[in-house]
Amino acid sequence: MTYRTVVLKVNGRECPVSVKDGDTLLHVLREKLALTGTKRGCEIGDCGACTVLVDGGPMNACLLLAAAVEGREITTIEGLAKGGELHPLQRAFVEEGAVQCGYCSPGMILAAKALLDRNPDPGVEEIKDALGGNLCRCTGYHGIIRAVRNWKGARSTHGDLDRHECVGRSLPRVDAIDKVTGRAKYTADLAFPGMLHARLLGSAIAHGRIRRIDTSKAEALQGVAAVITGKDVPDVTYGVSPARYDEHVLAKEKVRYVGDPIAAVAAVDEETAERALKLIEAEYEELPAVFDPEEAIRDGAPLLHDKYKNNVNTLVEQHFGDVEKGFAEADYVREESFVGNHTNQAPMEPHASIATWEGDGTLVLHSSTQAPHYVHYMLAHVFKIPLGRIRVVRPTVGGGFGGKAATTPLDLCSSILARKTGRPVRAVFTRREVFEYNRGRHRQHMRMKLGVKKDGRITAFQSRILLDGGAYSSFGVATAYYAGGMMPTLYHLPNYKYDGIRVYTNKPACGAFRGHGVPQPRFAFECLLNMVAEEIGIDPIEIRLRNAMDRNTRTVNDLDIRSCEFKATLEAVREKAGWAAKYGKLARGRGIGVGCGGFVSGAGYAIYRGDVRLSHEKQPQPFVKESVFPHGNAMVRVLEDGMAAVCMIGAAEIGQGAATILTQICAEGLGIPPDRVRTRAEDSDLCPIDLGAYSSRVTLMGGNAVLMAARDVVKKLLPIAATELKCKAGQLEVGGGRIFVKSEPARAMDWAEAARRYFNANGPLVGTGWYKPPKGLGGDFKGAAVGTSPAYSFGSSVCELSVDLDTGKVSVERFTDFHDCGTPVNPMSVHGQVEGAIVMGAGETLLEEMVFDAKGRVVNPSFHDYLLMTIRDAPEIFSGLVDSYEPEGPFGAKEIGEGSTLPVLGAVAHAVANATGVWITELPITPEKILFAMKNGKPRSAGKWQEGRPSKPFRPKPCRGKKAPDPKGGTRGQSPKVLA
Amino acid sequence: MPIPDLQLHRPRSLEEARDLLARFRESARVLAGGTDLLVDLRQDRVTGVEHLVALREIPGLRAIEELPDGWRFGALVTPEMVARHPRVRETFPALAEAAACMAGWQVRNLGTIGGNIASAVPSSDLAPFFIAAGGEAILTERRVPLKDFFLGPRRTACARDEILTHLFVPAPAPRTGISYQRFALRGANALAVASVAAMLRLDGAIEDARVVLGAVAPIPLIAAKTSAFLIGKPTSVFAEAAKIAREEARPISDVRGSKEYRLEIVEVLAARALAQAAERCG
Repeated sequence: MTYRTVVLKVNGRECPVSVKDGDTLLHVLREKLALTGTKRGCEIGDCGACTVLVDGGPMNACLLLAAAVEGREITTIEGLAKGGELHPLQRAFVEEGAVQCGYCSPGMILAAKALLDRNPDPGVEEIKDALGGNLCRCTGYHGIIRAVRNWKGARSTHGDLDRHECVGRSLPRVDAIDKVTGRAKYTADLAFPGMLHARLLGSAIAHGRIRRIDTSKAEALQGVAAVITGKDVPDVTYGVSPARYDEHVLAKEKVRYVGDPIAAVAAVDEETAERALKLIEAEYEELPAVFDPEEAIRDGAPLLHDKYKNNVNTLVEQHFGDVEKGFAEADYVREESFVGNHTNQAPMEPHASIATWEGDGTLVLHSSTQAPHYVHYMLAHVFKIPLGRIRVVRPTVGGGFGGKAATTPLDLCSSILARKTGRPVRAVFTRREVFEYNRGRHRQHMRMKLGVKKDGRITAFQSRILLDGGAYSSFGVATAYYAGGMMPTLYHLPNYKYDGIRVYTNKPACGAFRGHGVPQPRFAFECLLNMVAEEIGIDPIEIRLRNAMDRNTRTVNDLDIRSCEFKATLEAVREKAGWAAKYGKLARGRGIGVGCGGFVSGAGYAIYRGDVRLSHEKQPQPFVKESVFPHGNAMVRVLEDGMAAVCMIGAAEIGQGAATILTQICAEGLGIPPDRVRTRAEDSDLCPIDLGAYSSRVTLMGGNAVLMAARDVVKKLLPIAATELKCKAGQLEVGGGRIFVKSEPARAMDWAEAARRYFNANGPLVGTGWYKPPKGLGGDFKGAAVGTSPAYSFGSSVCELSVDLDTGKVSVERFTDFHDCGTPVNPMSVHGQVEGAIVMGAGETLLEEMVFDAKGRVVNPSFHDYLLMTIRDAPEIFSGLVDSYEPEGPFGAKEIGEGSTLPVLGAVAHAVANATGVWITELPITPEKILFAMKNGKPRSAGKWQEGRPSKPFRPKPCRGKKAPDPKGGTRGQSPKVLA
Repeated sequence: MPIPDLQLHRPRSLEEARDLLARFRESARVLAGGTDLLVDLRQDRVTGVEHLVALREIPGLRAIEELPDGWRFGALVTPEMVARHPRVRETFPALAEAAACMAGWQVRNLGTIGGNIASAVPSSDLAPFFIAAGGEAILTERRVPLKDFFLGPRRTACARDEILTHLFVPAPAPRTGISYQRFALRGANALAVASVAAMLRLDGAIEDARVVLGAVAPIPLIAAKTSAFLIGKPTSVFAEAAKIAREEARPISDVRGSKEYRLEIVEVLAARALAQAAERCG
């Protein structure tokens, strides 16, 4: 191996650096010059995250050899801000909401900077041309286009509320400046002295018994510190749902999918570790594999897990009301089959972990995770050590979408290798491994039947779903329940039957992905409802209004809906999109469609039962209809000079904006400006447990915990101010950094002064808060816990698109979306979630699909072949909100992150059908499917008119617990688009 | 996946480069932009490579020159340079369009047109144009018409010790038009599912025609029957010609599209390319 010293000119400085000829510029910038703002997203030039400027032109640092760019001017993101001042473009990215997870931001900003150097006033088309090589998974590209257009200083508005000081305002993200300057440290950006690098070896076959794994050659390779296989890992299974822990850290006896980890290597660098993997010899007794869930449940099919007969991982049978009676009462009954596609979350940052064991035996794990507590819990479970002996640190996370909600083999293998070697061990997935590990959306085979009266009122709905689970459970038990449980939240379903089967197949496990189990059945239901509406001659929006959920209702499956402005979203979207003037009136090739959806604001119950003790120490704990421990917990500590507060909560910021929302809620509760609050949610040693960023729970649950903690602090300050202001504590209010008499706001005391006095007299000023979902959520049937939540979101989308009738190619042109997310804490962040969800959802509907070959290998494990929408594909979007107040939420807020995805798929499918006259019921809706459906003109099955029996109008039960108020009924949205 | 251990050579002349290639033979590869080669190395798609001979320091390979009889493009000219060159856009709009639709801006800055031709990937966006335009590959010591250059996927007439230094395109004859149409699954940064380049010379009827199909055969495919059919015909036969092009295509099914779909697309693109080429005949 030969090294040579080259002098790289980086950000105006000459940097002599020793490189190997094969080292890429990306590697050298990150590992040798510690310029980690240049991100590693795919390493083959498909994502643009590693964009740097070379002599002023954007290039992929992963496709340049460092030794070949000697003498050329290289600019990285670290070189853009001069003298501590952000470049105006960076500032625009911060203030226009162009930054979410931030992983694409450095590359995106540099490409945009190069464009602005060429043309300081580019139009939208030119921006799209320039940024087509930079993928973003979070923003839907909208904030990015706004930022590039407005870089000189103009700013968009987002429909802010004027009800509070911080809450309801579009504050820029608290972490955005670090993200646009490259200072934000993601897990793989961190390095520790003596750190080793680990790589995992996955099974080369889809199903087999391990006969022999010979690691001797790998161990003998110079630079290799340790090699482990199944025999070196604890004899403990792990997973997500306690009822289905079915994975070993490394396969012990069997491998069940191509990529199933069988060994791990720690070495001095990744290259050596990679080389060592190739020296590991694995011999298998190959077993017949099964890839199709229909085949997998047949008798005699190859069995993946002995315990699960016919490969049935989860079986759900739920029946509410009486569907037979409901269908008999219907005037029109329609059945249809649908297929949902197998998609991957594809966060821009691949999963990564770094493990270290400290001298006192404490395991410190840095992990790119969206649920640090579950990682913490799972490490304790696998290694049989108390939670208190483990510290989980979550550095900046570059997107999750459900893909980082479970403990990964990286977390566990790096921990084992670190213990074995006594050195820190870093393990990072390649992009290929992100796909091979998967945990993405289940492929769902759905058969649905809907009965309606002549006037469109639903009398019964039946759904049978086969979920292709892959080789392990992961989140899949919950997925199978969610796929049915959420259906009755949107429309009144008087009679409902759901049968779900989740099946093991020899493919990578599927898990939770934005909307967890629901987007596909929601897509199918929305399509079916649109088919029915059109067949019986009712406008698709009208049929929705006639069936739409009302506030303070209990659904047929015992879910309590409090705030619900679903009808308002439908009316607003109809108006704003100009539905009446377009629907049914467009030329062939142009289409308009509607879809709706919503989601939970946090799961009503934790994933594991009982308290937080180690699972193996627990007595079997029966399910009780009450949360055993608080799901969100916060501590607010005021700094001793009273000038700032630190808000500590384990809720993960993963790019969705949690840290900003929690900062705003905390500042509002404390009555001080948000720039005096720092949310520290990274470290389990500092932060009390929060269950994490899944099931769209952070705003409501974390927010409530933070608000309570902030109010706890205020409670301690009021007596001091009361003494000072000579009044009763009850007469006081906080705000703007002051404590003042409500009736006489000029009579005030400085907040910080009160805090100092508290500290001088009593020591640390700390407030604590927690949130437990209301008692008694859900019904009394099996699986009733899934789908429960303190609150539900609602939304309606209208999609407009055109289809090239010769090729079937779809161009999504415009989306109009209205949501009921309660009262928004940060409207810009809300719209950012909606914009991102629309582009992700439209991409899932039209482009994305993991494809497997006959041997179970992923055919397209790269951004080259697994296509995310680029900035060129993103439609124009109008995102609006309807007035709503959720009594369970902090300041009336509920979720937006996942609910925003749900209307998208159905709206796109409907618009395609509207444009072409053909319904494509199998996702993704590719040009090929559209073209052949148009050519073959296959007549679709129609519904059946029947003599419907008379029936009483359905009267839903009222919800239990708090009731939501009737809001005023206003709407607010984004400023006129810069995108037109 | 790291790039294997290898040695980078940065010769300053073609002679030096050829010496290196002759010395290291099978273990050496020419490095132009690297956007294909480095990915192949990283993904273990090529093996046994120990030496990279980088062309970048060799003078004279980065120019676009308008000569009396045609245009000479240095092998290291980037797609971005082609796409933005005002005279190229005027003279060969199809070439500028083909270059502009490639990958993303970063790769268009980094990749080279010589590399795009020499790597001989079936979905190349530039090869169909250069063939349709009657282009030639200028190698170190000989010229090869591009229609004869491609031998198979990633296999060309350029021998191990030869270097593709330039691409030559003859000046377009009067009343000649060229169009390049491609179909990809998304709006940017996507490989062509199928593409068609069509050259027409009109004088009332079609005097000359060359139709080349991309991504539907192991190499950019000259649709000989289609081209022959067109000569002497009026411009009303494009639909019929497109059907012949479809018959000539030999696509495979892959993750981007089935064989059957590619056939459909080839027909559509051929008709569109012919219509646009006719329009461009002026």
